[in-house]
Amino acid sequence: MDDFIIRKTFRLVIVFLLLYGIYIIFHGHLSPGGGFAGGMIMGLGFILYLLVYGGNLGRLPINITIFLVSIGGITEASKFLIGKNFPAAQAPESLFSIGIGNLVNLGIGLLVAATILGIFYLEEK
Amino acid sequence: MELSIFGANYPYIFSILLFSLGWLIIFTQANLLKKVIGINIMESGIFLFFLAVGDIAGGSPPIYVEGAEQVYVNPLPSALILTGIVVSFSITALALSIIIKIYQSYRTIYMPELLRIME
Amino acid sequence: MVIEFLPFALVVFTLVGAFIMPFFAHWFPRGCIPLTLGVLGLDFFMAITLLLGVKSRGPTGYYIGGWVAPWGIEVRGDGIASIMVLLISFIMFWTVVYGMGSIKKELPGNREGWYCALLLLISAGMMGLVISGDLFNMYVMIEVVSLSSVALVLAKGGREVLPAALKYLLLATIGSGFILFGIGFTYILTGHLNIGFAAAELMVSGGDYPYLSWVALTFLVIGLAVKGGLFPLHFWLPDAHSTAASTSSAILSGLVVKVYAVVVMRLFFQLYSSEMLLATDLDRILLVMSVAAILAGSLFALIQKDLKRLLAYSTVAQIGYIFLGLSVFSIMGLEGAIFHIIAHALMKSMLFLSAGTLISRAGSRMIESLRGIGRVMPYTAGIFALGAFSMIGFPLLAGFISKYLLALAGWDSGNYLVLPLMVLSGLLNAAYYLPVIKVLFWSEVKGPQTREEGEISGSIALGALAISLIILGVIPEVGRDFIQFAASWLWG
Repeated sequence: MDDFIIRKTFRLVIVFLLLYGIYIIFHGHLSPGGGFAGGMIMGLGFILYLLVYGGNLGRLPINITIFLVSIGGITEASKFLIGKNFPAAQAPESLFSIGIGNLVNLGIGLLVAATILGIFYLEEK
Repeated sequence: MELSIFGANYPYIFSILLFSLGWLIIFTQANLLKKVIGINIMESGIFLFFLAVGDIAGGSPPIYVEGAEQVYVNPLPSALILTGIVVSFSITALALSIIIKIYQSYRTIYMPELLRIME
Repeated sequence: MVIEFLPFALVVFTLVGAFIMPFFAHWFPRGCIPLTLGVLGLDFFMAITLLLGVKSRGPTGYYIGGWVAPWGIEVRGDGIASIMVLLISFIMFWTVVYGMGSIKKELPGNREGWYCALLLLISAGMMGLVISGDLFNMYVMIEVVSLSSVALVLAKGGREVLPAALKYLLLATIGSGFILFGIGFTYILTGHLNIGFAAAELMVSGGDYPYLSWVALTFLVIGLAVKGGLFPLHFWLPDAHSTAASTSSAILSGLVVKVYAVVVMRLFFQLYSSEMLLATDLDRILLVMSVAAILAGSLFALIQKDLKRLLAYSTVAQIGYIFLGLSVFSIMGLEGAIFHIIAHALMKSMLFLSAGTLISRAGSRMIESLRGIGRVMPYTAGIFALGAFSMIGFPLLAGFISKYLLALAGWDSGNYLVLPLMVLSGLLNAAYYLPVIKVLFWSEVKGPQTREEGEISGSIALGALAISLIILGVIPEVGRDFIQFAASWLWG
């Protein structure tokens, strides 16, 4: 859209949206949320981007989607390979209580965000 | 069969009610979108059932707090429900995409008319 | 040491392959099918290693990540799991070989890469299903397989696929709801989700709650019967399997409906003890449903004019065979059911793939338009006839052996009507397959008269499937050995 107000507001809002999504992803073990819910919020941020800057993006969204799907999926599939005794599990209630699990959670979040972006983009075309 | 059994187990009764209601909606409603809503109601009934399984009267949310010794609610059903919610969301997304495509091809989402067109 | 890691490594490897595929699909489209073939070929070799290892060393259990049960997820590599993993990788491999030629023709646009990703995803899901020893892990894999199979139906594009796929999705979701409910009931009853622990708990305290265990088992079996297409819950099957692309139909009819029968097998023989099962009379109900499936599926197939719908109704009947083997509740029945799973997977995929080649030559799915195609495509139509004869139960082919095993099982367990039922169903199968073969070979040809087979890759795939079918029929001991090992372990 070419509306000035929308574009300015979008630039303010998108930062907080994506940051909020990452916050929910990383605090999945301390408060409700986790990979899926945080990923959805990040996906909504991407959809907002598509809505505002709609037509003139070409093949960028689908490229981002595929890239994030692959990276997110592989990171998430690697959660099975983490053993019981993997180091870096630290004190409870800190951000890194689950050690490498944070990376897996991030992978899940990216996968969900990419899926939502992909569905919206392919339906809108 | 005293009446207090029903009073103590009301989550289970409501979950069965929701499940049956959702199931009925899928079969009897003619509008395709309402069938998808029926799927969601049915899955909500199942999640309520799982929550009721894990609940212990007087328990607290299962997040470990240093020090105090308290009775935690069973955390396992919550994990099962998370997976179930994601599955239900995926099914709804897929079903809605199919309905959009049906509307683009057949110009109707009303089931008897769809069957008539397909003849 | 390596053996116990194998089944799980198989699933993760295929899953990672599925996730790498979008990269290839978008930026390197010609490498998709070779990547799929490579992953599936490696799966096949790992499956053979697993089967031989399990045969010599006994079943293996592996806890994911080292978290022991009951807190962790257990992966059981036992006899039935290894057989199913081998079957899945074998049939998926040859189906993709067939697809090298036909996928470009049948699917619109350039969906090839995404279709390959879907194939790898559904293989990973099915393999994960059969090896899982934990009820909730099984549910997650069931969902992966359901959604991927709906997408397989949808991949073809066009108008007629859409209502069939929607019907399949709705009914499959209802089935999943029932399965999840049943898992919840089992969790209330036993407090464990791991199959081994739950079985031990049920033996100790299951007798105190007969109604609850009955309800749990019923919900689970109904959900699995809806997804597996057992009569009278089969209504999504003819539409979905007939409108899909030919490679999709082969996978759906040959593999997807079978894994749900494998889950029923695990429930009946590993989770619940024999006394509890017989007390619920569920085996009687399944027996009636299987007999109805066999008869009704064949009767419906008699009146079909569309070749793929005929094959789909034939699948409905064959699923009745498998559940018949499960419900006579003897070890021979279990062997018959496992043998029929393998034999029917081979036969049905052969039939659907050759039918796909014939249909793409003729341009329409109606049997009338396939007149005389046998004369211009003798190899493909010959393989179709081979599959049809095996379905009818010709000796020297695998179909005969499964009918024989099932009839023997029925006789031994006291259901004396199973033997005439097998004979009757063989005659019914003949009644609807033989007219098709007559139309294929003994009619005048419409259309171009040149004698030209389909793609070479398709012919190679069909040949491989046919050779394995003949081997299984002529030397059944090759299979019987492994099947007896699997069945006796499940039964004990």
